[in-house]
Amino acid sequence: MATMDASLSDTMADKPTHTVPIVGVGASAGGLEALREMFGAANEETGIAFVIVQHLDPHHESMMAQLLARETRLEVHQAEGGETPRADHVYIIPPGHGLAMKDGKLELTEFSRPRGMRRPIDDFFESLANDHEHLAACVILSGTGADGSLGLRTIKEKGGLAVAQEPTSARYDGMPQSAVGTGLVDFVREPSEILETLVRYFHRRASHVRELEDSASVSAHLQDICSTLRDVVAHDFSGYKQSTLERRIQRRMQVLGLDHAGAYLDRLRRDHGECDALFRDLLINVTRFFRDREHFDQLRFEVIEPLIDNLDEAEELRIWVAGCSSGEEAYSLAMMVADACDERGVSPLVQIFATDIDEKMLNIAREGRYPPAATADMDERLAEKYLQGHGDHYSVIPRIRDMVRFSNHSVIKDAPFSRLHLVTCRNLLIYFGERLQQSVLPLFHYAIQEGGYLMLGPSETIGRHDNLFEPVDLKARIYRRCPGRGTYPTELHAASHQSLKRQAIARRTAMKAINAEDDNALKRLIERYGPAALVLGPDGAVNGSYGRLARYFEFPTTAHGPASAAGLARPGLREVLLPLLRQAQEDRSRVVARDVEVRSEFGSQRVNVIADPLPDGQTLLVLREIEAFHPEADDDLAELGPNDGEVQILEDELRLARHRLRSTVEELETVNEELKSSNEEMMSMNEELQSTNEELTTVNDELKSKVDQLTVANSDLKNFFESTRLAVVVLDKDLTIRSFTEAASEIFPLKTSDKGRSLEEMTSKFGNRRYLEDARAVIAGREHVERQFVTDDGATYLFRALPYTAAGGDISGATLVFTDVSEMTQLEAELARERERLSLALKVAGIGVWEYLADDDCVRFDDTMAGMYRLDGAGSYPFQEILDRVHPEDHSRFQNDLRRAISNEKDDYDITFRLLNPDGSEISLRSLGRLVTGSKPARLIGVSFDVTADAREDAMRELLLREMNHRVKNLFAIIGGMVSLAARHADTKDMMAQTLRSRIAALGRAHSLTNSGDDQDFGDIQALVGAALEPYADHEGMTIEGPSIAIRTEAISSLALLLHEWATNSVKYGALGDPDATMKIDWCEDDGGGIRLHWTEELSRERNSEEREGFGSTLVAASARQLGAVVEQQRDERGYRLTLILPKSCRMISDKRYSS
Amino acid sequence: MPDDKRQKILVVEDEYLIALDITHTLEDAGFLVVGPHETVADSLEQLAEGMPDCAILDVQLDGEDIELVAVALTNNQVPIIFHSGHAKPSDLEQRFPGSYFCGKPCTPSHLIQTLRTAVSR
Repeated sequence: MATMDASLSDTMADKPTHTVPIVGVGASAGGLEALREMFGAANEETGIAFVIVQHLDPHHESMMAQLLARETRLEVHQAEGGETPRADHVYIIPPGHGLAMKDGKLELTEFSRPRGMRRPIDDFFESLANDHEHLAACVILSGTGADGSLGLRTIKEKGGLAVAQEPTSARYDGMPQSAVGTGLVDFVREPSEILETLVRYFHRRASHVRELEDSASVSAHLQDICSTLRDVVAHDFSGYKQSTLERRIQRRMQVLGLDHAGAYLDRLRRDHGECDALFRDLLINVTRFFRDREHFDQLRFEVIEPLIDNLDEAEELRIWVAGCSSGEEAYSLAMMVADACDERGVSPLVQIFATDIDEKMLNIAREGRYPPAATADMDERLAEKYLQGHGDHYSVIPRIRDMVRFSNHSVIKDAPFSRLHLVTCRNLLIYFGERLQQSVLPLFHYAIQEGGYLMLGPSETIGRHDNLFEPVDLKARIYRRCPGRGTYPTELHAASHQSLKRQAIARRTAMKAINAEDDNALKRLIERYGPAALVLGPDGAVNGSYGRLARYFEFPTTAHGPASAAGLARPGLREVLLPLLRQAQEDRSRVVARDVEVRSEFGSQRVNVIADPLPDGQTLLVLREIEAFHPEADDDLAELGPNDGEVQILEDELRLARHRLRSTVEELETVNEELKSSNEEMMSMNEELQSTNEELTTVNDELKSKVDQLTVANSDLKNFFESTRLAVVVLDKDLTIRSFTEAASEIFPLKTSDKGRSLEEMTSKFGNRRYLEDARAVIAGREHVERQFVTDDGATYLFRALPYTAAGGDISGATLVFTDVSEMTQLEAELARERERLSLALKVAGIGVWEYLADDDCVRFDDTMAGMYRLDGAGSYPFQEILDRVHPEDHSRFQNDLRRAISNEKDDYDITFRLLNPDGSEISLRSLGRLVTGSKPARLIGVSFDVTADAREDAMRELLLREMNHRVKNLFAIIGGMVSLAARHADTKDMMAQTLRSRIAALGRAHSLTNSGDDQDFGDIQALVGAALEPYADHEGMTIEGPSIAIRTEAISSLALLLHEWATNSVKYGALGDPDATMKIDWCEDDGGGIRLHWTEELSRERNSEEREGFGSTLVAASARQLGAVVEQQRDERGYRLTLILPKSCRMISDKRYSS
Repeated sequence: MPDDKRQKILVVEDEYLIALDITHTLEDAGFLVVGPHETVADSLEQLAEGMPDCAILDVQLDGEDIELVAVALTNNQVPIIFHSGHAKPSDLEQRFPGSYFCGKPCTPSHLIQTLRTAVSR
């Protein structure tokens, strides 16, 4: 039976309270797949932190974190040490380190053992269990070997949860199989279900903690649970400490997801597997070599050494370790005894009985293999002496192993050992209830011989039984048995009515509680009143006995194993026994040997021997006395001698044969031991190999993933190579072609088979082969080379040579990239031509381009602009400098418009303004601009051109318009004046009207000359004369001749009026009134630049002399005066000649206003 | 004729016909016409001899601006009537506040009425 760690009875407040459950995940070969499946299932918050421990090659970078991160929604890190694991994060062990939990933090540890002998999973689980106790869980996934199984035990001891991958689903089932084999695994699941199981468990746990107070329901059902358990596993836990039982039952309920103890009870009744699970949970234990070492030192000093010293010769030292669990304590005692004996140079017989009710633990104990953690408290000298290291575990040397005998035995229900020198029963009583504790102590008193010792656990005492034991060392809990006859505590054994679990199993279906008193009576009946009887096994071994057998059998004082009934039988019985048994077994029926005389040294007894085969293969042998016992004298022996002698000889031979057999067996055993040790070596080598293999498998898994990725990348690359229009050639260091794209074969005549050939051998479409030099230059270390190549058929390629950098950063070749830029080059040329054309147009048109940058408040000018502003040349100028050139009157307009355009208030900038050049000259510019859409800072781009000429023309036009307006109004004024004047002179109304109309008509004709459609603002004297005389053009004698001379507009009205008056006069009195007269009007330039006009009339008759000075004369005088002209008049009888001398000022001589 | 009681009106007009007409009109209305003059120089010369009671000025003589004459008159508080088809009244009124304006062509009665208003001030 087991010891128990204090953790479950401790309050949880002793340790720092962790709130996040931590799950240690152990995986090895084939683990990647299982981990992916496990973590891939994470689709919500788990509230749990995970730590993955693997067997990794210490020299190989692990890609685990990246590989796993891709599969799960949880965050995955490679552990760095010092982290406090956070919920929903996964931490992965880094290569070359172990991992441990300490004070809630992850800690990287150095491996103390050589590679191949490390058990990182066990180590981590142990530290996790110690640090997180009930908030810890472990998961064991695919892997070979058994790493994790020992750590799992610690997890369970501390109240944690254990989960293993379903072995059939694991690629390598070694680790899960071994974990399941401990019988401590709570859940066996497919990897994809593990996460959900954990989440549910911890979620329930959280809710259970809240309801911890309400354990009433478990208490209420405790008795029923115990009795159900007793029925099934044949161990009664009802005497155990209630609180411990309740806690452990509750944990099972949590695992099963049951909330009510009643439901659990039902489950327990229905499911015997659950009974086993609970049984195992109740027996969970922690122990190690020399636990509480100082107590052991005390034990050695106070007990063991004195015992050995006082041992009689041939006396056997008998020690009982009750509740030995996995055997560490028993082995510790054995080592101590062996060591003490060695010190003394004695070698007494030593028997150490180590018992427990947990068969699984006993198996571990018998194997004698322990993890290094178990040896923590051990003296190095003893460890060296009695333990053999096997890499990741130690085994107890055979000498010690042989000293200890492990057996399945219950303190409570099985008969105790007897005549013991020492009983140790440590950390067992703490599980027992008061009543049970008090009955066990008398039992020990009974079992220990007088002067023997009892050792209990540090927290156990003998209670009120101080009459049975007296303390030797209170602290170490060592007691000496008080003298007095031992009383066999019937009470205890009465309660245990089954001696064998086998029977219990047989009775599981129909259990009947047998009254304890009945049992006693039956016993008494058999012992006293029944015939002597034996239960024999199929091999004749004595399995049980009833009644008085001394007359029939000879029991040796020292028992060595199960004795053969035939060997023990006294003469007489011995001869019939074997045939009888054989027959009974063969026939499966009762057989009797009648009237057999059994002889002993005391006398003879006649009996009928009945062999009755039992259903389980054993045989009941009943000896029924048929006569009274005949005591015999010694001389009878002689009589019987001859008969007896034959048997004696046979027996001697048999003994001899047995002796030989025994020595052969011993030899065999020796050989066997040797083989065993070789085997162990082989095993350890195997383990190393296996562990290496696991590392390799892990690396292989990672490599496989890497290869998968590479395949994808490769096919991407291949597709890229096939699809790209880029001509790429990859060369290695000596210009050998490594790969190339389809497009490259347009330049080089490349075929797939050319890979591996040197590029130097290949021809190309280019005239020169400078790309080879460039490739060499790049390989030699130049960063990159770029140049253009023109093919023979005129295409242009942009060529780039780049170094090909290998993964390590070394240059291992060159990449040549050819880009067909023919189209681009062509476009470029076209663009250049276009630009040339545009700039030429700009230049020819005198258009300047400018750019205004709002942020810098500066203006960028091209050459033309700079020329306009008389600046040094194209460039950037501060705005103020430009503004200073603008005519002051245009300043504000210039600035405002610009501002508006920049702030986009007005779409376009359009302004005409004047520039004041330093030399005082003025030019007008028109600027057009537009805000560059989306420009930031805002930019305005525009053009300017010189509009000085236009401006001047505009001004001129306006002037002309005004002039014309003035002239028209003047004309009206003149007409007004004429009307007034005419009114003064007119004789008759009709006359006045007629003369006025003809005068106005003349004025109109003259005026139309100034307005004759073209822009000329001057009259021609030729036209003027023609117009004045137009009404008389049908006069045959009239000639008009003279050069065309321009006359000022201002002069036209007066000249026209003057000519009109002359013509009117002529009609009245002169040539125009005489159809036969001739008339000549001619003119020429005179010497002073003026015009001399002659008006010559030759009348056919005498000139009418009635002419008088009228208004006409006034008008002529006024007109002449207005013109600044002189009129000369000559007349004779028939001739009449007028000469008009016009001053130069009347002529239209190139006026400056008209120069353009 | 120093004893002439008629009000003296200076006429500056380069268009002879119009000047003649104005002269007739004014004389008919009982004014004494000084001039008419055709040039700025003549006008200034005339003014040097004595100020008229009022002046009718053509704004633009043959290429000359009447301004000098107008300034001289204004300085002597002689009322001015501008007679022009040219200049806008606002310009002149601004430059010569209190001056009158008769746009060409103008009826004789309007001219006389304006003249009377001007001299009676």
